[in-house]
Amino acid sequence: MTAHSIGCQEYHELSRRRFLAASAATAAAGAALASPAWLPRIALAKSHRSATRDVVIAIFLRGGFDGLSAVVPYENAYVTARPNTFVPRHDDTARPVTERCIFLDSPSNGVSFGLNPNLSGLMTPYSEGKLLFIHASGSTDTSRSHFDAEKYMEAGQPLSVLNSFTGWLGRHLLSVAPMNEAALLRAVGIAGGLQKSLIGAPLALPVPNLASFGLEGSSSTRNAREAVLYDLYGSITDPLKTIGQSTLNTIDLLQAVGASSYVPTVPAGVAYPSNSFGTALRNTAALLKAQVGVEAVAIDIGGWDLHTSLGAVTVNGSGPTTMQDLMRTLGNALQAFYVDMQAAPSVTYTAVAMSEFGRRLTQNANLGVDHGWGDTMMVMGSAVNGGRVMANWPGLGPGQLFQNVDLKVTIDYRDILAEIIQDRLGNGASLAQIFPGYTPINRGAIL
Amino acid sequence: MCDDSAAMAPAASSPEAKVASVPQRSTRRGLLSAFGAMALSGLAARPARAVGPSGSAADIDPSAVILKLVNRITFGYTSAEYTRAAQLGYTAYLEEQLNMTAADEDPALVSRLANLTTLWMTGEQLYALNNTGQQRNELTDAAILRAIYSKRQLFEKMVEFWTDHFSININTDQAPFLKTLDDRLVIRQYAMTSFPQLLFASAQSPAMLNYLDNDINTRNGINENYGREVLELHTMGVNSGYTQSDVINTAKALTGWGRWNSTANPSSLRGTFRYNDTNHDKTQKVILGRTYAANRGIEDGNEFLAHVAADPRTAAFIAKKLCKRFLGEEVRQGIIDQVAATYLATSGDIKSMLRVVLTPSNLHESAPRYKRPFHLAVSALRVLPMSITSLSSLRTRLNNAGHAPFQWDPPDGYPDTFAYWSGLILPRWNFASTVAPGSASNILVDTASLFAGMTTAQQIVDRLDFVFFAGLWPAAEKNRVRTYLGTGNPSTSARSEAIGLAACSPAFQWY
Repeated sequence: MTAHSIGCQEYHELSRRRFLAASAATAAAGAALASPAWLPRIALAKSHRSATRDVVIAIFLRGGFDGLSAVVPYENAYVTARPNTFVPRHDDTARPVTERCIFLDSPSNGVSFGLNPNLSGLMTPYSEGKLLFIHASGSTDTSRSHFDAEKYMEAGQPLSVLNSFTGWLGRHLLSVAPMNEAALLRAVGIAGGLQKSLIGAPLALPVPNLASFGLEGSSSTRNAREAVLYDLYGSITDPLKTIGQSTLNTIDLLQAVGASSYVPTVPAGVAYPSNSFGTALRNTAALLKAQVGVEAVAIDIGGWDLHTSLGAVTVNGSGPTTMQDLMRTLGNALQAFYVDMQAAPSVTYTAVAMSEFGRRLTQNANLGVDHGWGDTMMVMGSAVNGGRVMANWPGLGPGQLFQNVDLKVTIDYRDILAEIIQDRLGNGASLAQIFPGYTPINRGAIL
Repeated sequence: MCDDSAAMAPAASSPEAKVASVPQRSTRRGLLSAFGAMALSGLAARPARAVGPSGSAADIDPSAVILKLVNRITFGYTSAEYTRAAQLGYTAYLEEQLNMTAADEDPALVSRLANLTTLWMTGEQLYALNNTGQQRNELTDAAILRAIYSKRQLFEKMVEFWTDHFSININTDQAPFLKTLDDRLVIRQYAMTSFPQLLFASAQSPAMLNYLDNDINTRNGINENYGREVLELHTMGVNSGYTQSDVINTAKALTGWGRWNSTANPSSLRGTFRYNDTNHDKTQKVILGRTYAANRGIEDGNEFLAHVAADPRTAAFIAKKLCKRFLGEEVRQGIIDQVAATYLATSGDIKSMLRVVLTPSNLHESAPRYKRPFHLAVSALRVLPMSITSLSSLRTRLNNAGHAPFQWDPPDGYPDTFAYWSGLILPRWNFASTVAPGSASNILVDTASLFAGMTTAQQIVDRLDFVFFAGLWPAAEKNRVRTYLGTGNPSTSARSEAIGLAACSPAFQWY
């Protein structure tokens, strides 16, 4: 981004902030903010849209997602290794149907897969061919360390370059022209601090909650204090001026998007879970539908590090920390997002969910599973070549495991990300910068 | 047509440039150049202006440079600190700060820290307690309390500097237990001694050896993590001329350097340094052109550390980092060379180097520095009459601002650049909008005493100007906050908000 475009933006936004400050006391201003009528006032004319690209939603399943419990391989070795914690096949009539897998796919190499029943929400996009599972996938980092493995995946490049750490999304956004040249905000990390994947991105901010991004303190004086800050930062000439004022503009922008009063377009029986992940996706839908030029959203869902007590396979489990509950949150939230965004078909997106590593094949003495390697990724979106399980299945039998204990990685996660960047984000030319030293293999994840 | 020429005004047109060319005495503008407030001139965007090291002393306003010294060697100006420095004079104040010992510490702080029991525990006790949350919180609280209340401000600044230099993420593996020991027995013990002593202590710190995997670096399985970082981050610096072979041989020289684990017997060994000769690589090694003979033990590592600590490239690397911390991101090579020469002449004596870094002319020519979130928070709390019942909310806010002490993940330490920190401005404002004015429930700011007897907006902002800015709050900022307070007698809540706005204001972001 050039200094020139900053200047432009400031110029346009200055009038808006002044308008807001001047009229904040009036009820009329409040009403104007709450309605979509604000859109023409913000300097984001649709004609500025230079390209039609997907918004990329990068979901990180932190802690080590158990891909084997999510997309279950129909192999005896799996049942043998997890006598107390396996998820039964869809045709295992010894178990209630609600506690069995939902049949997914039999890829050509003969192994079938079933979906954990708690992820049943994913069947909506899956059955419409818009969701793809990529099994036995992951990164080449075999450290089994959360820190190293997350860092490596989010960096998308070797970690030896310590002094210039940037993330794969950061390098993508840095190397491509803005989708909307007047955008105030190109990327959002729904987190307290920016996710590592977004480090290096221009106009990227960490926003813990899109519905409440703003100055704290008394709400009755918030607008007035923000106006003071706008003027304080407007009175200086150093680089803080731009940063201070664009932060305030982002506050305005998100207020105008009005995620807190957003009403999703979902039928009865489909709902965003009322927890942080559900709320994050719900607010993301509001942000995307407002079309304010955001191109990337990073969202985390943690809690997968289940060394103990995977929990019973039931769709009515209790307690917020068992894998089954987490899976219901994941599945239902993605289902709600998928359905909700169908109401705005012109806003296209690709969502990708991945984790730093999968889990050990064999359950441990505490009925949990320790850190492993190969895992399941998920990709969802209108252009996804889905409705199937993609796998170069390495097998779970003797001699087929990594170090004799873990599912192998046979598809590098960068292959999938590269295809999204090339086909849906219009930035194939920059792949060598985004994934330095790696030549991705086209796996056909995108139509 | 968009015109951003105002924001990108060339240096020559700014008021600050005039200060450089026209000698000023004790004028407001002269003082302004000593304070971060001058950042409003745009100087922060430019390299430090070229004022030669010689012949400039006569141009330096003595009170301005003392104020700048106070800002640079403490966690923030206070009127009491400035008064002390002005009474002693530049050199005597600097010497006082260089030479203060633990015995000089504020007794109230000492007794407060005594209550943080894990700070003082041995490895054996820490493993027995097995409460890593308490340890992390107490170590963090101690860092905050010391930065606010310690009389040994320059010492605490050096502790922060070395904590960044020998960075250990307290959330990794054994670090939740061992960082407390590293803080007390390595960083604080040697922060004002000599670099070789500090390096040696760090190389035998169980926390460091675990964090960088040297505790699994054995002759049968070389782990080069620590060996690489000790060259790249701790001593010579990246691209200083060492090779991959130097890295591998450094790792070999340090095989067997590890720690006694949490179940060691006798239990007094737990969490202490352990050299295990059976894990040591006995082959001959060549590191940085020097040969280490075969069939030796711990002396391989000892001699390597002494050798690398005496290398001129280490002197240059440490000198540059020290200069950047105290003088800004752009420092003249001539100053760095002087500090490096002092390192070599004094075997890395830290006080001697600081004396060369912190001369009046070096400070005079140095550009404003942008406060990191920890510094911002502490500098606001230092100027306010307040009482702290718990630091839990401040810990959370530092976390949100990405600057929780001891929690930087990679081993290179928290960055100290404007480019890195400037984007994260909302968490700074929210700290200032809540904690600083005392609306956080467990930090109580005594607004009544701060503004005692005051009834107008002008009095309130004059008071804030004195307390936060030594009377140098830029008029545009001060007037805008005065306007916010309105024309009548400002309410209690408005007074609190004015404190928050002062801490949020651009001038307070610099030092």
